Amino acid sequence: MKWMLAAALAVTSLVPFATSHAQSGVRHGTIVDMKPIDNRGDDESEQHKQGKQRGNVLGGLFGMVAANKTESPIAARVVANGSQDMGSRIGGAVAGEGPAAHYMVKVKTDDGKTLALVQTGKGVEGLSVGSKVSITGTGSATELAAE
Amino acid sequence: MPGLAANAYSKASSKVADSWLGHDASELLVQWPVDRGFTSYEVGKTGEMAYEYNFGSEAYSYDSQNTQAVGQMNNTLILQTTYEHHDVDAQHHCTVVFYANADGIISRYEYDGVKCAPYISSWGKPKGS
Repeated sequence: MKWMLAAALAVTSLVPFATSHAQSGVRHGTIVDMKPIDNRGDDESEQHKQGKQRGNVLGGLFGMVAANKTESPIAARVVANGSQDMGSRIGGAVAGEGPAAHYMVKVKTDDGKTLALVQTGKGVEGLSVGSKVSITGTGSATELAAE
Repeated sequence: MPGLAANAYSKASSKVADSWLGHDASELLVQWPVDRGFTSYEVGKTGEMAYEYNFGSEAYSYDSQNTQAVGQMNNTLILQTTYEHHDVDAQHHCTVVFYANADGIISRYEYDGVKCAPYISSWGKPKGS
């Protein structure tokens, strides 16, 4: 994650007057919108990851059988590796994407401010639109809890 | 924007960033990547919420080998293989920051970096616009 550090340093020069404001205490609000973030990038749900692992193992077994029928050792290795990759992809597809890793949660605070936040799937468990929440922390470190 | 690197500005990037002005920050969060390089923070002086996207490449390493003839003995070539390990540093390409006001509406932005246009263009304008 060196590049993130580099990015953080770059931002220091980009926004010299912006300072992270650590709000003290707890704020209160109501969730007014909540959507799974489908644009996953490198995010991967446990369900998808496990599916890929299972596919990888099955693909590997299939590859071993197929490779044994191949006389060339190089071709055998290509078949074995290709089968694992294919198995991994198929396993992931069969398992499905599973629940989103992140959610967009929009909260209207009791003092009238609207905050659009990114929360992890675990962070929004038990929460839905209309939920009254307490808000601790700020920005990326914000945590919501049902009241 | 004071301090903006001359090579960061591009008309195409600004056009995409401009298209987010007036839109709800929640739309941005759903559309642009939040898996890595993303952070958000509240700006103390203005009360705005900042959404910051850092783009770049992570550090990686690879090995290479080079074999060359270094001599000859009778009819046999003497070959020497050199192995090298290469570390490629992480690179920062672009940082884009969108600011949302107290109503959660994007009201301004900043971007800077050596290669912003491909990232800004690919993540794009609001889907609804």
